[in-house]
Amino acid sequence: MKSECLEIYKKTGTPQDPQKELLRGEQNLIPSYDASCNKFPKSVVTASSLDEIKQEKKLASLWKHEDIPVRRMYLWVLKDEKIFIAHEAIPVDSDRGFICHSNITAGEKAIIGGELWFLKEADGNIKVYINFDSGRYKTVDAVKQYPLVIDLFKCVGYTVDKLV
Amino acid sequence: MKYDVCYTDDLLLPVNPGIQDDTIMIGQDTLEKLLVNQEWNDPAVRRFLSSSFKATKKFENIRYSGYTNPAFLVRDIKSGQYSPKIIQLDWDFGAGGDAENYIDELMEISTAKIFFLSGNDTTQEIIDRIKERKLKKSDRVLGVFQKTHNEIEINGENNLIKEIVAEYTKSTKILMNIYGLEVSFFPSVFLPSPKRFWMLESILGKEHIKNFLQKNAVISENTTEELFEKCENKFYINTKNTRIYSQNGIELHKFYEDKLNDRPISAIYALKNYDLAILETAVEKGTSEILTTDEK
Repeated sequence: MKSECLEIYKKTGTPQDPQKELLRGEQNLIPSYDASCNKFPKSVVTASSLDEIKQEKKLASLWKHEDIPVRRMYLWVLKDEKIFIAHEAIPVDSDRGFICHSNITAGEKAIIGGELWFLKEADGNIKVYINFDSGRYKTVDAVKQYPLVIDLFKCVGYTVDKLV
Repeated sequence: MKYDVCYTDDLLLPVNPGIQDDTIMIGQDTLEKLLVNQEWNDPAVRRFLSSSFKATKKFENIRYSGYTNPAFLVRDIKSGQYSPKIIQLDWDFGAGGDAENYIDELMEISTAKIFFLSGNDTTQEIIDRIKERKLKKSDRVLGVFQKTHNEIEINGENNLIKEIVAEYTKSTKILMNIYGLEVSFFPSVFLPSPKRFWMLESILGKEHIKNFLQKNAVISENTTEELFEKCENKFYINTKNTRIYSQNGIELHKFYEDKLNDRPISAIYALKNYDLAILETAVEKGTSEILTTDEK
């Protein structure tokens, strides 16, 4: 991570244990990639509109994943001076069946987490939409943390916006 | 194993169903497709089928079928092709006479529980007729419900759907091994199948459930309610009533620019008002949208 980004990272918060009990398979470590070095994974699943993202989010809230044609949601976590990102649909041997934030951290401490989508815009550029939806690596101080995390994503090279 | 529910009504189909042979059993898939058609012989039947499918969708073992005449139903039961657990029988058959003519035979050849559907204002008349007949196996005739266009009608179709779900859950016991204990699982509106038992663990915590099951090794509608009643977790709803937050997600309301109601809601209140999947999302992600009935 570039030194100016690291400065931002250090202000984003203190590492915390997962704030929710780990169920079967929820700490099995899955491969994720470090977005602070590699902006995009080799093959990224992109959304084509905000509506598509919002529809996926709604169906996922109801656990109607079978009704989502292509799952595009990613999870992000700040840990060990890195931004880890992984596709939520990665299968895991757990009752949930796919990853949660603690699969990215192997159940270890992390600062904060959320969800993320890559939106391919009309000009071909990819914009990242994030939120802070994580009950495990929860927001401790929204007013302080949210602008810093967004600045951090910008610092490592993303065009980023909030998904509300 | 499928739990077959049969609906027999001479006005079962739309005006132009496009079905070549209406003397055979009409499966749920076909009936669901026919619901797209707006013009039905009896709109109340269309609405009733639609409500039934919607209400029982989460119980993956409940499967509806339909007949346009009880004579066809009798034929299929006799031949061993069909063995419904529940029969919903329209009392008044326009051309074929009353369903009354078939009661004795259905009682004899099937072990199904029977509900009757009446037209407007004939419910009491049917109840009286059933009493008069002093059916030997009357414990299997479970009630008379009114076919109506009014959703809030007392003893109307919505109550019948509830009765059917209750019959299903009573009769379906699944043994599970949880934390080394043999637990009896009965499907409920909260947990229609054991596949989502883990959601209880996610929301309530394993220790809470384990302590409970050591005293009473049953997961049912009642015990699920009891588990939530004894749980101290709170949830928070925004003033727009569009989003629910768990305790770990409470700070997120600033991200979504929500104002929260002054008082949190208890876990049991949340269970009774929101789908278990939404509560799991709220705990796992910190928050979840609350969806309207139509969106569900």
